[in-house]
Amino acid sequence: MEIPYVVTPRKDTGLNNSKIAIWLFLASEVMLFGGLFSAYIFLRIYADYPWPERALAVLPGLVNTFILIASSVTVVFAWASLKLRNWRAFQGFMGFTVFCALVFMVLKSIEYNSKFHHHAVRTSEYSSVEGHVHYFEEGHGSGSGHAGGESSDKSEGSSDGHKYLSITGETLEGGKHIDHNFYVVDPTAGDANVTFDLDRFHPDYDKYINVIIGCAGKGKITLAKDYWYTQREVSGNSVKVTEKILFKEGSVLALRDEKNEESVISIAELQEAKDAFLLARKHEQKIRTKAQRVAGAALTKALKEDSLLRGMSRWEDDAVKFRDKVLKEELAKLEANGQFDSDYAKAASTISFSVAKDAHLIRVKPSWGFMTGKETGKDTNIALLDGTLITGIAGDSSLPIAVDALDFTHLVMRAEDKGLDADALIEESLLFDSQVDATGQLRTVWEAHKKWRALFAAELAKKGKVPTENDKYRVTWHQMVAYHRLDYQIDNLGEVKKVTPGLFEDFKGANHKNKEEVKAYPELRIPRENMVLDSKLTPKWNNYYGIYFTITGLHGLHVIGGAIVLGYYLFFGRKMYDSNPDWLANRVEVGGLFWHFVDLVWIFVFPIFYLM
Amino acid sequence: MGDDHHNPNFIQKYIFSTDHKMIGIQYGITALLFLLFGFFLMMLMRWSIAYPNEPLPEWLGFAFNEDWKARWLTDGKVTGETYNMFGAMHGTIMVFLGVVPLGFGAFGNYVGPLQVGAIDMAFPKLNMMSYWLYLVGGLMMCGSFFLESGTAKSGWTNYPPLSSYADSQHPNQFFTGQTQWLLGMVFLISSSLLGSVNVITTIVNLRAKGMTWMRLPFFVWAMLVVAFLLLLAFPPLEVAGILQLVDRFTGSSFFQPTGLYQSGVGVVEQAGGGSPLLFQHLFWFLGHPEVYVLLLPAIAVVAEIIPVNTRKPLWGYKSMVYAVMVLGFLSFIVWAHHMYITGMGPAISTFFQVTTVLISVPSVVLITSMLISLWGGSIRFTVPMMWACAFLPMFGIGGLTGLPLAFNLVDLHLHDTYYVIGHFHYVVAPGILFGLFGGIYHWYPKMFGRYMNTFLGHLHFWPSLIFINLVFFPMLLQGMAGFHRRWYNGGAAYLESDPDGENVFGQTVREWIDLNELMSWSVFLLAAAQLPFIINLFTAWFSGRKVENDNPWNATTLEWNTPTPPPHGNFVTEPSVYRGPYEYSRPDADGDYYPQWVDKSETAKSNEKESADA
Repeated sequence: MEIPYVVTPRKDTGLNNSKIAIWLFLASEVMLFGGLFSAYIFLRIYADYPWPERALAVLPGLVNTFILIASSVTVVFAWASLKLRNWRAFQGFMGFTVFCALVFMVLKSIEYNSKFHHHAVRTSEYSSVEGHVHYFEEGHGSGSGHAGGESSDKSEGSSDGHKYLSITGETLEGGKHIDHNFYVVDPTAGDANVTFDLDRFHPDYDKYINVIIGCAGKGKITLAKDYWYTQREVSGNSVKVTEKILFKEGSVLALRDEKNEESVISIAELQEAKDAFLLARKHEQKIRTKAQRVAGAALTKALKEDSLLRGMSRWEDDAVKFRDKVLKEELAKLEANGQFDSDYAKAASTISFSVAKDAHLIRVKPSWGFMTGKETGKDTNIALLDGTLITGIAGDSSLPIAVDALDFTHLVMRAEDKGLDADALIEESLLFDSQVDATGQLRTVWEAHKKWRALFAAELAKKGKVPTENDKYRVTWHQMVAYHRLDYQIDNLGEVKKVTPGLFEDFKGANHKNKEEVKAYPELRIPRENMVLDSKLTPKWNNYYGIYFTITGLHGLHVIGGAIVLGYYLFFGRKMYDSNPDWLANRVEVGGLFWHFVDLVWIFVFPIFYLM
Repeated sequence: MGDDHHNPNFIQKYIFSTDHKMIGIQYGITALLFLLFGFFLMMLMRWSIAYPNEPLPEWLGFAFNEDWKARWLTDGKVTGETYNMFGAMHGTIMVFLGVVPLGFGAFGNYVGPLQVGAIDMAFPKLNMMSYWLYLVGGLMMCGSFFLESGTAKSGWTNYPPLSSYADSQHPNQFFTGQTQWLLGMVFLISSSLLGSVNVITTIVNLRAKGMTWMRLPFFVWAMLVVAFLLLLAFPPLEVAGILQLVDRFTGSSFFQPTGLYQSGVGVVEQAGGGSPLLFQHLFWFLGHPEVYVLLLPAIAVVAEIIPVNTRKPLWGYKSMVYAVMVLGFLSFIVWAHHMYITGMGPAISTFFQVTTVLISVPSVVLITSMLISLWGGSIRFTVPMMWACAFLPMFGIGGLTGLPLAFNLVDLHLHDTYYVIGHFHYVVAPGILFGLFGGIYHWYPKMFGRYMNTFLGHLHFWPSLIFINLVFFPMLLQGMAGFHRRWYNGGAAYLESDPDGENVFGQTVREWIDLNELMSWSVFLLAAAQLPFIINLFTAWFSGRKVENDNPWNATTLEWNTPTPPPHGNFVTEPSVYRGPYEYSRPDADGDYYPQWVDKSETAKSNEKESADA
């Protein structure tokens, strides 16, 4: 039994099976990418914020375009070589095709990587800055003098081999580079508590606990009050009461393997408390369900027999009241019998710890939860994703950032909507505040930019054109570097152009590791309460990056998939070639059709993301 | 190719089979199990609707252990959150894991290649992968009942922004119900992509000698259209799913508007600038063609059962073929009639209103042709024919109740009420499922060489017909009185807050709420009515009456030209086709029909043989 038309085409349709299949598959793919591009159009048309235009470095995209086009040509040559029965040529052309795919993906990952490490912040006044989060010297604006998590990392963490912070970044000029993006609670400023939600707490999420203990310091977090529960087991009429105090007040919250000490609560003990809570809830639910059933049956009977309720529906007021009454009586009866009381199964659903006055700052990553009350010195609480709640007084949670792009376009758009004077608002921007821009460098940059844009506008006016909002209200890293190189003396456009980073520097993007270049980037300290969005240049930052990463990511997956298939023919196709060369040629033709489709998608991707 | 196992072992033959018939049976059994599960979830919901204050009875709560009950029920009662979980999963299971795999996966796989005279699907291994992707996707979705987050809870449509934030409080986003739903959907879409490519290629390229396009049975035409719908309509849903996954994992805001406020959190820290409307467009671009993906296999099955049992050609075969193609095309441009109240604007609403009314034309062509096919026939009321006959009026009610919903002004009143639920359940349950039940009774003798029991068949059919109407007809009445489709307590809470609230026609919830008990008990009895079917399905396998010959119904299409059950490779000799698919009532034949495979010159001889067999 052989499936027909695997290699040879059927006479009346003129097609072999896989040719039909690949065209159908591509039709489906057209709908997939069609949907994505439609989403792009929808998102761009309905955007209520300035859609970033030409935000990406063009050169890598352009190079990738030519790489894909070249590989599409060679895949056809590879197919033709098979038709000519020239195996060596096939190997050469197919090898080049797969190599192109590799180069494409390498360039793509370089592009991605730089965005994943680029920070972006939008403030409450709709101005935004981009840049890198830098390490600040001890005492530089840091409220309490503690270096918080990082000092405990050194002093206590290393002593017992624990690494409290998994967020230690790369080295910068010999010093330590730490991503200083934290929500901070300051225990020295007022009572701080850490409360675990036993319903949701899970031992797998011990990283939260580890970081909290690591920050506060060993032995600084203790149980606020006794954690206890009672449980009564009923068999027949006899009731066995088990009262149990699980943990005593003052027990120390400790790390996973710091056990074997009295009055230490670690993950295992928290799990024990959780089990106790779940058990108690189960008992309570069981007994209440039983009482509910009794009440329901009583109501059914009453609706048939009771003179007042006869003929009523169960949802009617009197029926509901009757039911509630029976339920209450039933629970009271069970309580009188000793089978149930309000303390039948009692265990708190939370377990609360207090943090010692002399503990260090508690710092958690913003992605771990939500902070309410961000202003330094005010009451705050941080709700972590596993239900853990940290309450206390907010420490200095401001974000230290070396700015390599300044953008007021969103602010301008909002101001125009409301009929406000955008330029006046910009002059009063909180980014220029002396607390934020301590060195005043950002203000200097902005003043230089205003000079540049006046010159630029004059230049354009000669051609009858006007500058765009982006020209006027966005300062890019190229411009910052150029202004810095000119020492902020902007007198003519030609000079600026001469010192502006060119195409190849553009390829690398802003370089925060270059000692000279980094001086061009003003260092700000943005108060947390003024930040409304804190992101990397990832999909979170805005929908432009969102759809860019989604479409190029899916396209990249297609490139990888195609390269694997074509690579399979290259490395394992010889057997098929020897048995039936036309079979392999058909397969390569089908793979090549897919490869052309992948190329075609990129032909759309490149202009809409890189050029428009 | 390498799928020719002469001596397949157990695993090759029954588990990782590449034979389209075994895969069809796998699809069928899996889909029936999912349908049963979806039905069970609905029974839990109906209990909560009829008896919002009563704990789940023991006979419904048996499936859950004490821990699960303590987590998801309050005093044994279904909570709103739990009800939402059941509701979302009921819809998802019934549509994506039950009806589509049963109609397209099981019948399409089993009957399709046989009817075109192919030895197997064009790509047997892809066919196997298609089944396994479906199973994995389905289990991912249903498996989330065991997760801490529970399953998806935002309805089977998963509208953001609700669904985007559902389960977002969990540290491990991967293991949450909503994420598992989306990932499971990606698996299902991949499965249907492989399935549809396979079906189309098989129909186009593997037709037997002489099987021209207009000699294809209507069933095959319907499968071809369904495959195209799946191929082209599912990718936009995949886009919606992927974008929602990106939203969930990276915090982007494709579907989140600017300044969204979340209780307990405040204004959400996000970029904003997206639109929930985008999701609805992408979702319903699949969602509406999906309705025809559900429907067409059932119509196709009924169109096969009717000519056999009326001994009359299918009336208007050609117009049915053209109608089904027009239907397929139009189904792509009606999607926004699900979105009238989103504020798209009157121009767009009007466009979609017009296309929606247009699509009723080919639907009516299909159902009218089948109705006229009955006229003057010598009807044999076999069990499959009973189901087929019930399908026609039931689907008719479903279709006619849809007309008011097509008009955007009327839809303002009826949107999101039980009327909508009643309408589409009339289409799907007594319509589509009845048709598919008929198909099971019809092809069972070919699949297993034994008839299903007729008495049990009637015991299945009549109570099902009665109770299913008692479930869904009251929904239309309640819906017109304004019952909202997502009330987990059937309106009791509404009555508490607004005891005498009237809708614009002066109807109140109070007047109609007592129907809840009737509907719920009908559901429970409907469940009991499925027991004879389950018993029948398994006992007939071993002890059913054996078929007398390979063509027990005296049918004309090619699947009856195979040994019973068909072996690997299907046909003993390569089949040739000499005539159209429905040559019944032929006075020149000794019997009353010419099968497609009978050559004119052999006619006389063949008829002799047939009458001898009978």
